[in-house]
Amino acid sequence: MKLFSNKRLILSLVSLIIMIALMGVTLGNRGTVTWPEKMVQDTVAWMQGLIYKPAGYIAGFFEDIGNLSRLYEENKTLKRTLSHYARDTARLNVLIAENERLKEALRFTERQKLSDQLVYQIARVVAVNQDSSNNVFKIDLGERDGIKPDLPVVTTDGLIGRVIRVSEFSSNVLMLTDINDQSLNSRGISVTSLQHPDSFGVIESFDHETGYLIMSKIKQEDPLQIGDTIVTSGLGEVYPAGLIIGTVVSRQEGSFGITHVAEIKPAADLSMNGLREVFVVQNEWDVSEP
Amino acid sequence: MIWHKHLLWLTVWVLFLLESSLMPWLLPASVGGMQLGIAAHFAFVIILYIGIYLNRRLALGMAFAIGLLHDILFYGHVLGAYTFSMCLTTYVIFMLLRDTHVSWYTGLGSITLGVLAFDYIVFGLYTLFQITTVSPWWYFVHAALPSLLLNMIFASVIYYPVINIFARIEKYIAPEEPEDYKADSP
Repeated sequence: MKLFSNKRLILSLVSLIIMIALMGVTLGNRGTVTWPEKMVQDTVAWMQGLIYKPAGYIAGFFEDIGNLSRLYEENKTLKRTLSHYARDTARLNVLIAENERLKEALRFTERQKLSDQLVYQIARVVAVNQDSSNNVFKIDLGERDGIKPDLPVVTTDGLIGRVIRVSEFSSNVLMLTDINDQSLNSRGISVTSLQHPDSFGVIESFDHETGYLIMSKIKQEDPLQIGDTIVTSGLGEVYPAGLIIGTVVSRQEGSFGITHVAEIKPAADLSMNGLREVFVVQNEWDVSEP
Repeated sequence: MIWHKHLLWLTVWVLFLLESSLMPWLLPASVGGMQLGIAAHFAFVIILYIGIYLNRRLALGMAFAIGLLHDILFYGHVLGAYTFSMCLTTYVIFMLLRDTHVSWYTGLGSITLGVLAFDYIVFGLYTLFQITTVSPWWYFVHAALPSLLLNMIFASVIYYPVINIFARIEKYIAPEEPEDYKADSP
């Protein structure tokens, strides 16, 4: 009888049950975002942006001063890359023209043509979560700007994550580091190699100890080699083809010996440190026909 | 008069905003080639101060509000992990320190332990729901320990100003105790 007379104990037990139930229910992604949640998201995101962006400019200023000494070296490298770039562009123009002509001849539909062309929407980061198991940052684009859940987010170096939650004027982006084959919430990315387009694999987890992404489900006879650049293959229908993810560092037999597993060094910096601008990627068809 | 409550809410709110907007620019992402996940829990430290030295009920309310806000804002995997951990840690610390006179080392020590416990309850929940698969030791070295150091430094730095301000508030208005406080204590 003593137990039930203690109001506080009952209250704490009930709240414990409610909290665990809440976590169980909200695990994974709920479909819709309710309006109170949207309102809180947008209001606070705006306030966070007021601090994050100026702080970024100031930090960038000091970074620039630090970088002055490296500028000469960097300039030389960039000039060399630029000459390669000019050569590649000339070749690319010919290929694009030929591709267009062939697609026309093969009667590609408008949707098929546009789905290869990617639109990079620039978004500014307004806040970064510091919890190392929940790597989420907020950007200042939302539903009004045509952002939808599951769109890939890239920096100039490569893929860094995907949009996970969208409200009117802001959205949350989940980093690639939180990809995990045991979680209900995460999705594998089907990838291929830029040098060996026949190769196939799925990126399903991230090794926090080494900082490498783990690519699994590779066939034993797969042509994948160490040093290959790994890009999204577009077979998963979530990510468009051709987004750069990283380079292969090692390849060995998986734990069951049936398939191979490769370690991928991410091309982009996945630490969320100094994030200022990111790009949300959509294909042209989804932008033009919402 | 409840002006001091408004002031405390405002302080906690501003610190909460700074945690995710200003602190990422000030904290390093890696030291000596080792990836670090330093998390500033400044709002939580202030909440613990309020709970230990001023007003328990107010602190519990703040823990709930700030935890829920954090959960909604950075909804990535699950809703409620921060709310639960903040409330639980705050509550347990108040219960332990209920009848004691809190000296400076007890206060700072319990805040330090509170921040560590908070980090590990969140981590435990994420492990329970299989959101993260890193080992507790890895988490301790790369995330919990560096954040603990940062938050401990913050708590120590603000100790005297906070105590002074709380003393002034207490002089102005005696802190209210919950009604069931007397009935429960032996």
